[in-house]
Amino acid sequence: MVKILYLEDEDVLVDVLTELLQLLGWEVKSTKSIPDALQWFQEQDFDIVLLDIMMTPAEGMDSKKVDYGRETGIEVARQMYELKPSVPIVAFTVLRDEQLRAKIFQAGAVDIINKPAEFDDIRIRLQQALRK
Amino acid sequence: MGEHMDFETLLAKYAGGKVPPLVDSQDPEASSINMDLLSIYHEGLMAKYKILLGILIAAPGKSGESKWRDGDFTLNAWAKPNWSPFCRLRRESTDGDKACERCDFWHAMMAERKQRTVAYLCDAGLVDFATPIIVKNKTVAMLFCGQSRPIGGQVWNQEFIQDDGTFRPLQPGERGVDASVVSQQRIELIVQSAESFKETLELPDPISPDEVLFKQQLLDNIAAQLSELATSNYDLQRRSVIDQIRERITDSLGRLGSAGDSDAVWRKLSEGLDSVRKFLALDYCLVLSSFGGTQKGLTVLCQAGLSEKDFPTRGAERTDEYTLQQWIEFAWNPQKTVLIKLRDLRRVPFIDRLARLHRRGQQYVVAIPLPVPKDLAQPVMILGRIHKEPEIESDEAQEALKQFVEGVAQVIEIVVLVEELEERARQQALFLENVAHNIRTPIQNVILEAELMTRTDLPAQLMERRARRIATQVRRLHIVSLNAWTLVNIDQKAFENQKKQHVSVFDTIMGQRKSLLDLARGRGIKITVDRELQDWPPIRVNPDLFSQTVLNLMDNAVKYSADETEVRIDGRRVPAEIVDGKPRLGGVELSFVNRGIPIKEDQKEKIFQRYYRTVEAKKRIPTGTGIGLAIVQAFLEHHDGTVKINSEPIPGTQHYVTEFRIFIPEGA
Repeated sequence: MVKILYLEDEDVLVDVLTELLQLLGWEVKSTKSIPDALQWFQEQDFDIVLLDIMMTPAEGMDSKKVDYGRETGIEVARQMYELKPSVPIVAFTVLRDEQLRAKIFQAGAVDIINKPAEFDDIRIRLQQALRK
Repeated sequence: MGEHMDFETLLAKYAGGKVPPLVDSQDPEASSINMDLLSIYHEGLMAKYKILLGILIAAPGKSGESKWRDGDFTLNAWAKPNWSPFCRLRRESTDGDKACERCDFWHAMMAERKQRTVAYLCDAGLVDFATPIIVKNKTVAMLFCGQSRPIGGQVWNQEFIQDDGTFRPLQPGERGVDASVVSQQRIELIVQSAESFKETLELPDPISPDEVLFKQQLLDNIAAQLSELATSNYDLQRRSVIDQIRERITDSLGRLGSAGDSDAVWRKLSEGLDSVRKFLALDYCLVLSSFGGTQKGLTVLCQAGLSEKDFPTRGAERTDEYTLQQWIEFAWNPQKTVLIKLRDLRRVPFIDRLARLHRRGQQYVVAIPLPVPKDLAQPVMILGRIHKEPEIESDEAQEALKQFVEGVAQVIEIVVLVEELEERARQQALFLENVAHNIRTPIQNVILEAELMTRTDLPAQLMERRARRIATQVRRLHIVSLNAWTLVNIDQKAFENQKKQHVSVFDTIMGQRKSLLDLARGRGIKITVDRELQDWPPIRVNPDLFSQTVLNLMDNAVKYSADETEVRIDGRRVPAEIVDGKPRLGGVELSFVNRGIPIKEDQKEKIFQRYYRTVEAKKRIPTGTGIGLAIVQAFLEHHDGTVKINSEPIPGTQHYVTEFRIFIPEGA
């Protein structure tokens, strides 16, 4: 069974995507809280991480460094990659900016899924990431 | 003679030679005044102080009344067309003209004797002023100003104006005046005048004793400036040049040009600056500004006289010398060129570093301000250290100086414009990105909700819940698209042609409240509306703009609230009333109160600017578009409404109570 960590600050999306992934038979740990996500990632074994990029910076984060939330997910990805580089990280974002996308890959992500996306596309891209 | 000359013509006239002094400082009373220079200052002073001045040049080598009777009336005559119609008419009669002149000469003598401005009643009962221009303790010319009627003044009696500006009758035998004889003559003249001019309109405005005092002081000030300038020809020129610089810069900054090749401008500027440095006899010369600087820094636009090794700077270099900035803000008068002792600036590491480079020569720094329009950062200045006694340079240096002025003006324009454009472009890019986020996210939610509904057999209750969530997402999309559409309409001024309609405030608020309920509930936020609004009669507004305004104010209140708090909407009807002596229309006042992030004092105006978002707002909601309050602003402008913002900390918490109170006048 695939175990996925899903970090997203959009309530509805957390609910509905969690449910859909669970229908695939995946174990989903989802949260809006960045500290919770980092703690779970450190303490548990996940097969893959799916994370939003534009999120309110966590307490203690340098807001300016993450451009007041525009790049919060990039910082989180970087920290997770440093902790466990073998776990594939997939970004899930509305942002199309090329420079930002480059930063996301530099932080350690293996793929970027653009919102909005059909569920089948999300599933296929996650499965491809797992194989990498 | 008598032709008013501008500075450039003056420079051209004296090309290749030195500009002579205003008067010969060895014997100012006997020498001729340089009318070219004086006419320039005459014009400049009138424009600067917005006051009509006549100047009567004393006849050289004469004294008493004849010093003025035989004087040069050229600049006095120049002012004549600008006299009031009453005075012009009076002067057209031979007797009237003679009486006026006698009055002027006599009081010029008085002013010369007193060595300061004398205010007096002229033949026609108007208040006039005579001010001596003194060089080396000799009165070389007289300023005349006046044509104001005293309040309640008695035209027939000559009175003496006291130091406090009030009037008292002259005592018999009072020095230089025979009241009875003079009064009789004057009465006759005035009677004649009144009969001739009884239909004359446009009498000058009355003048109060306070105004008399003020004008006396002002004229003393003007005369002092002229006296000072008269004694030194170099100072005269240099100061004129600096004034010219100021004018050019200010004028250029008033016009927005297109951004050009800034590298070429820097090069040109740097080439010209060294000539300027020599012309102003400075060891080194820096053009500093707070354009593009950080809150604590200044930008060095360019420099001359320093090597790259001594003071590396390429184009604009930022300094982080807060001390220098502080000094500029608090200790330096930006209206004056000042000489500062270098040791007073040694606390500033930036200056200290420069001071160490040049140990020889005088230890003074000259700061020449270049004022800029208020909405741009202050100040711009030339800062440099004096090397030796200044001397007048050739036309070449003056030409270089003029080029430099143009160059600095261009650079400032470009720096400001490019920064504005960059900031605007960045804001627009961010805006579009955030709009994209606010559209794509609800669409993503709808897609997946719909997917879930097709893949599962949900009980009816859950299906209903899913459907409602889809509806909420669609409403979110609707809000985003409405704001974008409203913005376009504002830009195209479409609302100006739309008729206002009668609209229920309560219904509008409750309608918009509905679209925010899901968002609010998810965070435990209550939205409470004052039920008394139900009883209000409709108000006349543009319905689309009004509902958008209400929506944006409520949306902001919810978004920036802390969880588990209340957003409250209240209102009151405001009767028509007198405020500060002026009638104010009645209307309605709506208040939107929340508990959450603060709005600081210096942000209260900025938050209504398109795309602007406070740091706290960005942290709270990274994906806001920054246009909601711009739309509120457009609504208020369209309806002559106002907004007040209060944001106070809640003791014991990190949150603030913030209130937006808008006022919409009736009949707007």
